[in-house]
Parts: sequence; structure tokens; C-alpha cells
Amino acid sequence: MRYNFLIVLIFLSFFKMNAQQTLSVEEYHDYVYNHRDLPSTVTRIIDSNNTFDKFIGSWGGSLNGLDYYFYVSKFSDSDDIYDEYESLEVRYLITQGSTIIADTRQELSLETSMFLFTMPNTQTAHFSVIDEDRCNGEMIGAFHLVGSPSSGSVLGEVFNEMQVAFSEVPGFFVENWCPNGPTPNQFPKDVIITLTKQ
Amino acid sequence: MRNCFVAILALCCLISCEKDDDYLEEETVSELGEFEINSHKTNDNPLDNIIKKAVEDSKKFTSTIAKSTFDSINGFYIDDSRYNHLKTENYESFTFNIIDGSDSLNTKYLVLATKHDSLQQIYYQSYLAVIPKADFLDIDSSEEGKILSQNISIIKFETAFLFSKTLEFDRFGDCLRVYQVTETPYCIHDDGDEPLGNNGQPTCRPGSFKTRVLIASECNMSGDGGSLGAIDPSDGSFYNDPNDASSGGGYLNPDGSTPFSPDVTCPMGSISDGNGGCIDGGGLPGSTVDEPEPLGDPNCESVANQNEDAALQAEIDKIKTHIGEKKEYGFRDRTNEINANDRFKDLEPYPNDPAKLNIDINALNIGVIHYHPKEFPEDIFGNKQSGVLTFSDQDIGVFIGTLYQSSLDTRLDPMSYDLSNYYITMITERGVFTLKFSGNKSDLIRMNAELINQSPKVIRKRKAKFKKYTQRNPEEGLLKYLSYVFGESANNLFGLFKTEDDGSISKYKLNENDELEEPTICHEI
Repeated sequence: MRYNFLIVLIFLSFFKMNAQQTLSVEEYHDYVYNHRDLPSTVTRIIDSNNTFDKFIGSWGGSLNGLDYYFYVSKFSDSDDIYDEYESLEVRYLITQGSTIIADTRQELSLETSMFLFTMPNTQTAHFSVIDEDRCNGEMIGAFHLVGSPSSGSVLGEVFNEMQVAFSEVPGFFVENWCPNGPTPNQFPKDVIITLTKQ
Repeated sequence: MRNCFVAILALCCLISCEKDDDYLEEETVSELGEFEINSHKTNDNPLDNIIKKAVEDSKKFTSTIAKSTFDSINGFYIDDSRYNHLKTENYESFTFNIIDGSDSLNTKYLVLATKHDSLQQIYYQSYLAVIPKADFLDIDSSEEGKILSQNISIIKFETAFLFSKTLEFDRFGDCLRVYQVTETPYCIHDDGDEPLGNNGQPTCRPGSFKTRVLIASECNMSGDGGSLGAIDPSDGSFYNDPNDASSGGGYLNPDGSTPFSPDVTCPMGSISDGNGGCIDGGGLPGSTVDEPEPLGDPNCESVANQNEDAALQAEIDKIKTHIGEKKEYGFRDRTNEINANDRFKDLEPYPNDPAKLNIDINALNIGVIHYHPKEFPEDIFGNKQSGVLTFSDQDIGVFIGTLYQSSLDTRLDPMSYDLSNYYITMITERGVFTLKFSGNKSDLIRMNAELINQSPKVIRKRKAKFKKYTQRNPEEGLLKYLSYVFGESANNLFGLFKTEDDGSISKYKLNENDELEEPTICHEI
């Protein structure tokens, strides 16, 4: 009787393991970009091909007298949808000479993840930014980080240069947060900034 | 027992302090027109009874002072736990007993009497009536409670008194509506990642919102056309703070800022016949404003009725011709528009993002219909940008905001006020979907506060959640998102319907495990 119970338990465990499905980041985006419904059995999204790695690090560039620094890292988390998902998050620092214009390096998880905006190919990562107080000059929008392969490399490999652009997402009740209206973004809209690995 | 009855009757008469068929001669009083000084019984008026009960419920104290409201301007108390309501064809007043410990010689009353302004709108003017106590008859000897004195002083005066702070009044079409108001403290959490307070608990910003429950409605079909509130009459495009429940309505202000039509008082559910009588309201405006009554489950048949609306369907067919394009298209529906030619109007795109529509929250918009593309134009790097094939989180905000504002808007035809008439329709490559709401105004107050009182950080998390949910399955994701933001009750407050190509309608719903059930056909052709 005890053996029967164990057999049933092992069978159920095996069945449960089979019912859970893991997708790679690329597979996940294939579903998303083709508007195919994800199977409900998908519980893990993993960067199994290390696609994120080439974005990770500190990046810097300048435009119109401002210095822009991006700090990209990889993280793993879980929620009510996924038992595990891997994603990227980005923090940024904007300076004008020695003056700090904006600094989100100390922010707790910006969670600007792949789930917010997707990766149309392995060279591009989209991050959404809905930041703290738009009334005080911060932003609602999306970064598009596009990596340029380093000389002699092929697509998908490590690169040393990256481009970034910011596009504004139409407001979501912004007018209710800012009695006097939102202030301009600190990132120029739809202007490409070239970043190099720091 | 009889003596007791007489005493109570006399007491009521004293509170009324109004004399029968006498027009007061004092100059200050003559403005009152018909100021009657005999007691009138209006207790058979349901409106009065409901208001009185609401006041009594809010003033369950033992002492008279505790039941009263302090008038900070005049330094005395006004007992609004009891009042006399006098109403004739052209005149109306509420009379309250004044408790003035500094004056032992006189009995004083506050009279709120109707007046007409230059626009023939009616408002309340406050008067102070002062009667020497020595001039009263022995009340035990008079069933009528008549007053001997001719030395009644009635003067206009300024008062800080508001007729019960727990009651508010507003005008809805030709109806005066009375609300019981409760204020609920509201802690605006920023949902994690927050610094801890001194007590080790996450901090939050204190707020509150008012809940107004309709307790009485008094309708007048002839009406004076007055409107209330701070609503822009040009287009209704506004967005009020939910903490400011007075917008769109107002207090019964004794200083005279509240228009009010007193011509005929009819019980709830009936309306004036225009000749001083009341008739059964039936489906007429007088009986349609009792919105607190739940509307039940979302009505599949109302979607079917929209599908049979040829004018509406013609507009939707135009939108369908854009399917496949990388740009949003849409229009709004004002079914209650007087000019039929203005019923539909195309929605305009954002100035800085021509591929996306800028959809206003507008109380007059019964419906918003638009198309979501599968893809938007390529980004600056030439990458394709994916669209959302269901209602966006912004669309949900627009829908709730519109319903919320509509429930406050006094300009709307009561027939169109029914929340179940409102809809938002989405056209995508997955089909034509319509979202309906089946909750009441209390639900809307809560939901509206939930949407606009959150920090950007919470909204960012919601957007992330919306993406995650809807990327798995747009219909399931939408319903899960609604539950995530508004709580599990959202599963019963919203109805998601899909109109199939053959005209049949399917309903989408989550099961107990928060998974999408197989859609059920709720309307067949």
C-alpha cells in the first residue's frame, strides 16, 4: 500500500513537472510579436541563451551638453504569473558638468523589463520608464536600447557600442498628478544618443 | 395619552412658529411673500420623512446641544434634528429651532425660505425669526399653538449653518436629489518600495473620498432649467477630484447659492403632472434616478441592441476597413445628443503621436469605439512595435472616468443616465469586443479613486502587470487586470462580450481559479 502511494506521488510529480513549461527569451518574444497566446503551462521565462548579457554593464554618452549614463543589469523574479522570469532593468544618471540632473541609481527595482516592451531582435531591448514625479521633470516613455556589434563580431555577440533613444508614451492621467502640467522630459524625444561601454 | 399627543403637537407647532394666511408687514419680511405662521404637517411627504430620518440617524445623542449645529457667525446653536417644512404652490421654507443661551427672553428660529434670483432660479435665503417668549399662548390650552404676539421680528441674516452636513443636494434634470454623505478615510499606498514610517509600517499619503447615497428625489417636470456644479457646459471635458463630491452638486446653502425648484413635491417614483398633482413616474425621469440600486449582471442584450443600431454599426463598419493599418482609428458615440448629426465624432490622435488616439474622458460620451492595430509604425531604429489586441489600461481608465463623471453630470437626460447604457468597444484582428459595466455609483467612486490616487510607481507596476497578463491572452489578461486593479469584485462588475461575425454574442468570464472560461454564447441570431 505504501509503495502504491509512492508510485502515485511520483507519477503526480512527474505529471506536474511536465505540465510546466519553460520558454527562452527568444521563444517568448516570438509568441508576443506574432500575437500568439502563451500556453497557460508556461511558468518560466529564462535567458537560456544569455541574450541579455551583451546589454549588461555601464554605458555613457553625451548630447547637447548633457552626459547620459545607463546602468543595465539582469535580474530574476517571480510573481503571480510566472514562477520565474529573467529580465533586464536599467537605471540612469544625467549630469551637466558636475550638476546632477537626474539620478535613479538608488531606485529600488525600476523593473523596466522585457515584459513592458519587447525585444524585436536580439540586438534591441526596449525598456519602459514611468518614473517618479513627472511634474518635476521626469518621464513617461520608453527607452530603445540598440546594440551595435563591435568590429569583427556577428549579430548577437558582445558589442561595445550601443544607441539609445527615448520615445514618449502618451500620458496616463498625467494631468491629475501635475496641477500645472507636466514638465519637459530630460531625454530628447526620438533623438539617438550613442553610448560606449564604460 | 391624549395630553401627550397634544403636547407633541404643540411642540411641533412651536417649532414651526408660522402664522396662517398672514402676510408679514415688516419691510424685511415682505420679501418672503407667503410667510405662514401656523403649523403645517408635511410629514406625509416621503421626501421630508427620509430627510428627517437621515438627520435623526446622524444625531443619535441625548442632549439638545449635541444634536445641534453651532453657528459660528452668530454664536448660537441650531437644532437641525427637527424642522418644519412648509410648502405651498409658490413658497417653501424650512424652519429650525435656535438654542441661544444668551437670550432668555426670546424664542428664535432660523427660516430658510425660497427666493428667486434675476434668472428666476430659486435659492434659499436665511431669516432670523425672533418672538418674545411672553407672547406665546399657553401651549397646553391650544391645539393650534397660535401665537399671540404681533411683535415677530424677522430679518435677513447671515449664518454659517448648513442643513445637515451629512446631507447634500443636487439638481438632476428636473429633480432635486438628496444624498446621505459619508466620508471614508483613504490611505494612498504606493505599494511597496516605500520608506518605512516611525512605526515600522510602510508610509502612505492620507486622503479621503465621499460616498453619496441617494436617499430621496423630488421631481418637477416643469423645471426651471437650472444647472449646478462646476461642470464646463461647453463640452463636459473635465476631471474632478473624487475628494470633492460637491462638484456637480451643492449644499442647500442658506446663503442662496443652490438653485432649487420647489413647485411640486412628489413621492419617489412619481412625478409632477404639472397641475400640482403627482402621477406614477413609470419609466420617466423621476423614477430613473435611483441609481444606487444594483443593475445586476452585465447585460448581453444591451450589446445586442447596440448591434441592431444601424447608424452605430455603419460607423463601426467604417472602422473595420482600417484593420491591418498601423494606426488607431475610432469615434465617440453621444446617443443623447440632441442633434443626430453630432452623435458620432471621430477621435483625434495625440499631436506628438499620430498613430495613437487621444481619448478624452467626457461625461457625454455614451460609447467610445476604436481600433487597435496589431503593429504600430517602426521605431526610430526600424524595429516593429507591437500593439495590444484588447482594451488598453488607458482605455479602462477612460471608461471608468467617463462612467464616474456621467454619474455626476446634471445635464444628462435621466433616461441615458443608466450606467448599463455606457460601453466601450474595441475592434482588433481578434474581433469586435465590448466592455460593459454593471456596478453602481459607489463602485465608481471607489474605482475612480483607485485609478487617479495612485503614485507613478504603482501605475508603472500596473502597466507591467497589464503587459504580462495580456501578452498571454488578451481577453483573459484584460479580465485579470481588472481584478488586479479593482479587486475580485471586478469579475462581476464588468462584462466582456465579443460580437461574432454572424451577430451572435459571446461572454468572456474568469472562473474561480482566475482562468478564462470557455466563452458562452449569451445572444444568438
